Amino acid sequence: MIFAGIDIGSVSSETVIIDKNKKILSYDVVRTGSNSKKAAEKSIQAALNKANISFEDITNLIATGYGRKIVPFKSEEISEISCHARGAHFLFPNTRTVIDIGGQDSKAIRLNENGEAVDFNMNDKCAAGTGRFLEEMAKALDTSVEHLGKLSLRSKKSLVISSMCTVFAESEVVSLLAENETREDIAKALHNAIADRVLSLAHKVRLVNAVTLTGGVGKNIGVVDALKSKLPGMTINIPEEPQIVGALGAALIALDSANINA
Amino acid sequence: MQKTWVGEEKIKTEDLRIKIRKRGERMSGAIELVQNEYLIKEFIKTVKKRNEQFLKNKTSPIIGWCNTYVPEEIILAFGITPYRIMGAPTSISLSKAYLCGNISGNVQSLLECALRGDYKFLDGMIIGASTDATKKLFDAWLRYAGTPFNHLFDIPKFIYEGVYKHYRESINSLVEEIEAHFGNKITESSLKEAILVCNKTRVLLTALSNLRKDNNPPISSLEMLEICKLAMVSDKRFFNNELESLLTKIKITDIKNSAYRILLTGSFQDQPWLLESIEENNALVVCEDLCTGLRYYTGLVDEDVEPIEAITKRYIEKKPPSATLVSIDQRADFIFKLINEFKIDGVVYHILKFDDPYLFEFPDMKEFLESKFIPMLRIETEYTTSTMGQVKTRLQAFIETLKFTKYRKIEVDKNG
Amino acid sequence: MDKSIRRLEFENLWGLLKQKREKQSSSFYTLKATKMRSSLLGKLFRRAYQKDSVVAWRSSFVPSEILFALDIIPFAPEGVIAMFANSHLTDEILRVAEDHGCSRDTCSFLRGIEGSVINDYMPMPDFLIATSLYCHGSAQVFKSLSKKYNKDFFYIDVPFHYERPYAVDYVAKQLEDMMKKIAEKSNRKFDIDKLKQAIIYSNQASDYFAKVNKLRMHKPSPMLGGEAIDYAVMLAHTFGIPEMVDICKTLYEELKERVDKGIGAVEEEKHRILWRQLRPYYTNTLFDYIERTHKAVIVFEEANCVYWKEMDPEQPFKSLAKKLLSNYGFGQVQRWLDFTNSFVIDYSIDGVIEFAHWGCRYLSASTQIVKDKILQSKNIPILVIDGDCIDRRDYSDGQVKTRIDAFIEILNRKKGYKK
Repeated sequence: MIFAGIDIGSVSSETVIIDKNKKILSYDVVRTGSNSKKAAEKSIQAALNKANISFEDITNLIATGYGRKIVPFKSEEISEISCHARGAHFLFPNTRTVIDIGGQDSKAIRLNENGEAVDFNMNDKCAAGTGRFLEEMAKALDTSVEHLGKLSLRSKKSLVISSMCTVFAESEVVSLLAENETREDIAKALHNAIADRVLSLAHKVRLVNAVTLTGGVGKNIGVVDALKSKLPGMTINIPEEPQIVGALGAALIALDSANINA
Repeated sequence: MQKTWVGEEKIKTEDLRIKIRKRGERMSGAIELVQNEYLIKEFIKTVKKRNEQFLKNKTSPIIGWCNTYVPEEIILAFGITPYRIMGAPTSISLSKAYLCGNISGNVQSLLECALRGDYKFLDGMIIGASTDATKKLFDAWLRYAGTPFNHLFDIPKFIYEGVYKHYRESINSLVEEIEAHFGNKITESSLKEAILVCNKTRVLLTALSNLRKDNNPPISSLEMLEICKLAMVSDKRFFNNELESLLTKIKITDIKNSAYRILLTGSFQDQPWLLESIEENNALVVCEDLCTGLRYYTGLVDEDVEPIEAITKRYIEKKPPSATLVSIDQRADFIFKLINEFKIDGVVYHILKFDDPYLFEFPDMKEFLESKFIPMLRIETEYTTSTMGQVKTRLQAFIETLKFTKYRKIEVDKNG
Repeated sequence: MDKSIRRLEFENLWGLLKQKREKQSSSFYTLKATKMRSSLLGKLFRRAYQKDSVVAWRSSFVPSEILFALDIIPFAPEGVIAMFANSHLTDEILRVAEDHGCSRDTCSFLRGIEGSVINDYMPMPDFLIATSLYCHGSAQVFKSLSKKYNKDFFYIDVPFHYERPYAVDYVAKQLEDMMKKIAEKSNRKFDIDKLKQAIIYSNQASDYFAKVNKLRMHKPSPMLGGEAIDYAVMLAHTFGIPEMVDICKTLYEELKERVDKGIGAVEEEKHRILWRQLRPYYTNTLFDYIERTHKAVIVFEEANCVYWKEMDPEQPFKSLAKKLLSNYGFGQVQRWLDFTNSFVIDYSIDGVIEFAHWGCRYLSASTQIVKDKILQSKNIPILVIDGDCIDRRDYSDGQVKTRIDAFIEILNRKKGYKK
């Protein structure tokens, strides 16, 4: 029995395929682009190819994410909240809070002891606190997002940048550069700003130890470092592939619901 | 020695030291100005040192307060030290979990600092409920800030018949609760004494502020801001003595200063960066219609009338009134009076994001100032932001346009 | 300004309505009382534009009984803006207000009022009345408009510390003085018997409405929340006339019939939801999605609570004062928490949804406290949807539905439903 989960986000789409023992057979990440339906088809096909199986082998497939409703071949659709919670708790059973920082949105989810989502908070209206924020800031500092993270770790001086609005923050970066502040210090301030923004979502759901980071930005060492410094004493779990946690959760829920029916 | 300041040309001097200041590039050729700066620095240092000592060995309980309509005299009359709480421009993360995100920045920062534990030294807190946001702050403060005594001081709105009764009842309520919690009692004589002390502070601060009507103010807006803030947190008697002594030593010069004179009005603003940003551009802030400015210290309590009645009257009628109390018609005339007294070239109207009273007042104020041909700039900031490139650009552009309007104002004045 | 301008104002509005009118209410709202309600509000609205009407603009909670007793038409600008939003008229109005200097961070109800006044869609008032209840912004805007129209502005100051001994008489006196002044200025007779009668009607109507609220505690709930929430506007506006009594009586009888027959608002009611604050007025798909698609019926809205005790017609002003002072949304939040607690228990609530209106500091700031102190201990989840009641420019159907889906999943899991 094979189960699949597909997460269609606004920036990227992921598919995860697992077997009945919850082992990951394959996964794939593509950019969503302007056509979510095509992206879904591309993503599932790539994952199937990697696992060397065909579509008919799949017992149950669950779609999640912003584009879940238009995935044509799903059995069911589930919200990304439940999927991220399930995926994170599977990878790290001590998870009680999930912080997901995606390309264009971020969310905080609180879990109970069974790993079920009981409260959540989403920010999908504003670029501040998302991957987009870092992209824009990296551009302003003439570098890549990964390098921005590395720069921030070398900071020596503490600066403050607005965490409310990306547009504001960008012109603050320009002024700071004009005042001869170093790119390292500015990068650190930016990572603190995104961490603050995300943490204010998390505090609203009363964040509890341990925290698992998901979403593409979970790979960014600058953000991880900033979050760690703002949550002293807390365990912060980072999955090896933080981007696929939503799709993994969807696949696991596909397995759960098939077992209930069996 | 008569020296004149002409535009941006350097002053020719012989044996006077020239001090070029980093901000505003005001050039002074007089020893007096240098001495003033030194005296003010010393004054601030002395008062701050005294405050630190007081906080270390408290000789009286301390009650925090947070709006200029809260009657300090009442607190003082109980033998308790009033201490204004102003928040701090730090990043906000904790307070959003207790208040909603779209609430005025300084209210958020008050709660944020309380949650961080900055106000553990307070024995009590009085929140002046001037706006909807502060009423909600009280609900959160009561449950999460951990101050042993909490009171919401209800401030009426609009000037109408019943407003005096409402304010008096608020005072009664406050007095009852302080008595119940602290056990102290007030008497008519302790009230009268408190009134005298607070009035003296007001007289001294007003005198200091009026020095800035002068063409070349002997005290800068940053110094005035710092002194005013100190007045709100210091032992008043000590502060009064020191300030009185300072005032006898400040010297005025007759050096001409052609920097544009700005009136700053609007939301709560206690951080120097806005003043600095304005003064970078050949402008001086000579008057602040803010609660860290005129709204704190103008208007005396009548010392010859029954104390509670006198206090009520002063707080309701003090000018300039805040937009949280009155509407534009009761503010506009006084602002216009200030503009004439201080010879203002332009008004900077500063609004904190989400600060409703000023957001709502703005269209009417704009109409009023336009009708009087007074240039105005509206800027909106967040309380916690440090560098504001966008704001600085606007301020610079605004001040550059003043050279066209300064002369128009003279025309209007000439023609009456 | 003479009142024949009202005809022009109505024509302005009618022109706009003809261009853009789009019926927005759901086809599932079938109660007769709802139709009667729309009809009554429509009638009052049209009368406000007539040249010989005496019109008083009132903000929420100003006692209409006083106005009806003087034969004055109460006009609620905030409610009317909601009506405009329902017909998609607000884009232009809000833009005009913003061009004039109103910030987008202020409440869109009030921005809408400013814009409507600039474009001359509102009937010219004879008086403007506001209270200190809930937000100060509405009083500020009314005061500012009273200067524009050059008409009298009345402010009823309800003290925050409602339990203080002076409060009732203080408010009662203001109401009485106001009524006398308005009577004098509009050449109406100050007839205390008419006021007593208005209070009697008001009592009868609120009595029926309280009974309606009690019927909704029944499982399954007999009324759709999407239909019920618009009664809140009426509730604030039309107490004091017999037509209101008829509407409330009809509603009560219709719901009683349903309850007696065991008919629920939806078949197979799965979840029972408590609704806080108001709703986005430019769309009805939200409620249909929650109630009809997900079978999560909104069994009660806090805005519909009859929180005041029966008024004594022999002491009209004191009674009206007591009604104002007993509004639980006002004053320290503890009173509100107690009410929310009782709603959660009485209506067997599974979850709470709040539509947090952008620009409303007053209502949105208490949410975290409610969550902490009431809902957490009862393990009742709450969903807060950030949005704007009037301004549809930032509303995203997909984003809101995602949140609702996630919330329903949480509720389903709690109850052990599959999926």
